[in-house]
Amino acid sequence: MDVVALVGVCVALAGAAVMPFVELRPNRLVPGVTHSVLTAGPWVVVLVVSLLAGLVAAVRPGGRTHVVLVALGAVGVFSAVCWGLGAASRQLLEGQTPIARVSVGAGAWMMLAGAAVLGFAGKSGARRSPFRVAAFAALLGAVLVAALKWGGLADISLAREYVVRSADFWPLVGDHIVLTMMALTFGIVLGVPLGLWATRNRRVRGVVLGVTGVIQTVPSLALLGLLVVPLSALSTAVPFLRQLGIRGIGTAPAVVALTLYALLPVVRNTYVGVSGVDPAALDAALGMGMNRWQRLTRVQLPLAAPLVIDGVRTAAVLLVGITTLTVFAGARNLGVLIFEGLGQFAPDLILLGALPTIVLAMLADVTLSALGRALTPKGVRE
Amino acid sequence: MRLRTTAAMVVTVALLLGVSGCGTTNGTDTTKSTSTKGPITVGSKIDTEGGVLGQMILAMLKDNGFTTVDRTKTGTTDVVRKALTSGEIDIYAEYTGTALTQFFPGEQVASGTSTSAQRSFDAVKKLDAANGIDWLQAAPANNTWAIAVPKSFAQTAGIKTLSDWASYINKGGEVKLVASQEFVDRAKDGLPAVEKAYGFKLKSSQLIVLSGGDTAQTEAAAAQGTSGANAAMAYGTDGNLAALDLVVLEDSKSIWPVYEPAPTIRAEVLKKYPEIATILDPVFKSLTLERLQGLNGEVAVEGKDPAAVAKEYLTTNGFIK
Repeated sequence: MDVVALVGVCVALAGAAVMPFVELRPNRLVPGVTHSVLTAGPWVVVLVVSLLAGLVAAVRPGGRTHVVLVALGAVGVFSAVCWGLGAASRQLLEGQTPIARVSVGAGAWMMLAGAAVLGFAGKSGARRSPFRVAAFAALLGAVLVAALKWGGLADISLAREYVVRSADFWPLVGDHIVLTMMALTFGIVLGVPLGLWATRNRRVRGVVLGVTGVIQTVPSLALLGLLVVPLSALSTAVPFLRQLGIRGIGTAPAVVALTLYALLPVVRNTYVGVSGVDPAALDAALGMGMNRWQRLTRVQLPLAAPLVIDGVRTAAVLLVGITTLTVFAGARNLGVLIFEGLGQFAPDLILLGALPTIVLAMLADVTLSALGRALTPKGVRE
Repeated sequence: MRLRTTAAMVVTVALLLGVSGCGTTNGTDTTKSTSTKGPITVGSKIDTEGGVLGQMILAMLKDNGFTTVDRTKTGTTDVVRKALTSGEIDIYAEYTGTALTQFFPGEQVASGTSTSAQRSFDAVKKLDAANGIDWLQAAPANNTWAIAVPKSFAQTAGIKTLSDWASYINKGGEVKLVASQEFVDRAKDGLPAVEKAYGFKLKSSQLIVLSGGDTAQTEAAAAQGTSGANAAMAYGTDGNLAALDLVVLEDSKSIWPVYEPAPTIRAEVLKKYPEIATILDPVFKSLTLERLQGLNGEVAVEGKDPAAVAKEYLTTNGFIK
């Protein structure tokens, strides 16, 4: 019994049977009338077949058929939802005023979640070949693009919000990534040496870990607010900084605050990783005549690498989320869409900002895991 | 270290530095024009109306041969005001009432100044000149505080003005007001001032207080009757009111300060290009309360792009070709 696949099927089924599939609203601000998955028309058949495939896979685990059935099930549910949403919106928007909107309902989100869980069931069964994962992702991407182009998915409220903001959207995504990466770079450059220093000296450890821990507890908005005044005073006093683009509002306070938040995971993991190195290995290195620097670079850091990269990964995912708050210091990123959506009380605009942020966080996680595996020396990886 | 590990490290560092080095392009949407006038950096507040007014200023300047930099939706009032005074942006639309109450709170102004459109404008113009900021023609649209109630409720209870509402409350009528913390706390022009002027008092059980100042949320709550709400704090030019079927109660005693939007520009920029005043004045003069409500509605309710809405308004009314 493949429990993961079973859970995926159950979640998707619950979403389809019990929860609303779409919501027809008179305009983008007010709630409206919900409709069930039956509005998806013929795609309900695809959904049922896919769920059956997933169910069969759940009760007959192991072997090649299991992997194939799970993949079919996941792709099938995903396609049914994408194309079904398109069909439903086409049908429901007929005869409505042009400002009426069809929003994705809780049921559709649950079905997507179920498909994701089902997809994970396949991941554990198959060999973790990057080609297969990439092919799977590409297939899902193709289904989505096809649904947008020909399936009517472009009529969904979320897609309509995107169309209005399309000129702004990709630059905002780019700015978001740049902000996160700048802060991550500074976090690594500052954090790893600090972590190493903490391993040498007991007092330093207490201070460093304590201070970075306290910084982490400061609410993000408060930290941003506290940075604006000194930074603007600094930039007025030192004109050269203004030339560099360091001002009281905008990127500078955002990057400083984000770097501070990145410190704790990086520092702590570096400290734990390096101090946790097997003393026997260090002894052997000493016996071989290595000096301090050689011990650090050839023994301690390679052995600590998995933990350090893990710290960077934690910091990256954290930073992608906190970056959205830096809008309050005048920085531009996906948070702009989220807070405008909140200000207008338009839920689909909030989603337009939040969903890409989530995707970015997941991408950061996956990329850094892969990078971590590549950077870990072969001997350590085993 | 092994070659593969080193290679991976080099790639990582290059990636990190490369992407970071791209720097940020904080809204540098520069337009080139044949003339060498400018560049003028246009900012705005982050709300719907701010976006529309900012895009209008941008469109007018572009059409009149200026090179512009689009930094609209700069941030909240504090952020955008700081950007103007520090020279990061050159112009943005601010409210007379906001300036009087937030930028010059300690100033002794004659009583009755804030509730008069002309006098509050003259006062802020004079006060801000000391900061090197000039105020251009304000729009005759009073975006001040208001109390909005669902249309059906107003009709059944026969309430049209705040005085009607006050007597309804005093007679024991069911009321639940959704408002921001700021509105509830401000003694001079918030809820306490309304209660004092109209002679009623709301109990804490008749209030739902939100910590943010958002009229979109308060109006949505009153329209849907969330938690029993049947009255909302609103702003005069909110675009959602018609869409949510809410009506604004008339402020018959004129207790609130006047909040009229006007372009605020750095004095040195205006001195260099005095024609900016002649370009923007007629546009702002034409923006009445109803027109501004309509424009806000197009962005908030219909979800249109503020730049498109601004351009359509300017073309329809003959301000740009």
